[in-house]
Amino acid sequence: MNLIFNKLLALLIFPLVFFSCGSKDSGNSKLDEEVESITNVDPKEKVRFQRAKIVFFSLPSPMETSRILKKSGAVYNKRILNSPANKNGYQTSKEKAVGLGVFIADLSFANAFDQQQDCLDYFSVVRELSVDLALSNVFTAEFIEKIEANIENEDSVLKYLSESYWQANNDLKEDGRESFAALVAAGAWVEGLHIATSLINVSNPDPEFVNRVGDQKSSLKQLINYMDSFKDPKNLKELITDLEALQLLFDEIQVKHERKEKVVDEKGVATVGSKKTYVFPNDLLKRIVEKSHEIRNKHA
Amino acid sequence: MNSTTLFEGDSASLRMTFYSLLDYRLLVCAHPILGDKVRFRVSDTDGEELYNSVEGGKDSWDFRVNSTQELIIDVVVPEDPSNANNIPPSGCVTVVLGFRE
Repeated sequence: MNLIFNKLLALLIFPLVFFSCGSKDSGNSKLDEEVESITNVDPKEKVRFQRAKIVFFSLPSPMETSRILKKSGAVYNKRILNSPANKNGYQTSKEKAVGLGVFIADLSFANAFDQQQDCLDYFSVVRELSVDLALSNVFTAEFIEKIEANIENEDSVLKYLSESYWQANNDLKEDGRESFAALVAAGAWVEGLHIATSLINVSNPDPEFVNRVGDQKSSLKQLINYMDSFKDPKNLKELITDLEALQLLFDEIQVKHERKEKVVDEKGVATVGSKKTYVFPNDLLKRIVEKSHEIRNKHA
Repeated sequence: MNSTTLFEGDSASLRMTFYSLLDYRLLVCAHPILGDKVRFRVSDTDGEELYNSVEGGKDSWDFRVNSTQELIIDVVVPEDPSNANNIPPSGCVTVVLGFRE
């Protein structure tokens, strides 16, 4: 069993997004500035700097979001996704970065439901946008051929997608375009929320899908913190403003915490953390659903 | 490679949201120059420690969360008291996360 676990993890493993080694060009972030401050001081001064803790934020990947939606009982519906035909609507680099994140989220959703033709269609769009963003060494023609050869293996597609997503993220940062990496992450997050909220029938909501929306309260806070960490967030300002308006709604969600003792099962897997219950007073769920669609339709 | 450079004596903190319904494996690895001293701990936002690599004796941790929530991963490179050199060694530290359904 442990071998199976290891095999699955080897397939799905990915490095965390906001750790960035050697990315001296990615000085857009205050966090990087702190790292720079450590590396550029006189050696004698380094001891003094050692105590400064570096803080990073990280978001769940679109691959994770798609998988939990599927596990929550979602049914695949391509009509709620952004059509690959909309690719030409992305003109500026900023729009293309957001669009890349959106289409990667859609691709992840299609992959979670083993929709092979839709996966190929989305990979094609992702490749085109990547080329436009000078990320052509990530989603290469050879990469697409590899996907096509393995399209019937859902795990292989997920592995290639995960590796490429994080590679694209890393390349943008290494290339001094960290704000574009943030736009890709934001686009993926916005599309993930759009998919989750599209699964909700507001007049008779499924509690599982409502919980998945409530789950985004934590990651939205992290997304805004990350985007706010840039010294010159002009590329991000409009999106940050919209996300902050959404956060005001998420702040109205009442969260009840029930502390739970840590439990470790026979395979050594620990179950930790509090149990949460989300309460959406009055028409809050409806307002969040509407706001998420509004933001998605504006930026995607 | 997604990682960061830490000096001996440095610490870094990663705040991350983990979804319920998924199993995770968290792995921390470091450049050999930092030896096997790099340690990490995971705590919730109330500060309650959930895992400590020193006590756990492993550089990886398998876990799931009762509900989707933010956890804090603190990575520490302890100082080496025997290091008489005024320039502390530095090296890449990487946090890697895997999930399964």
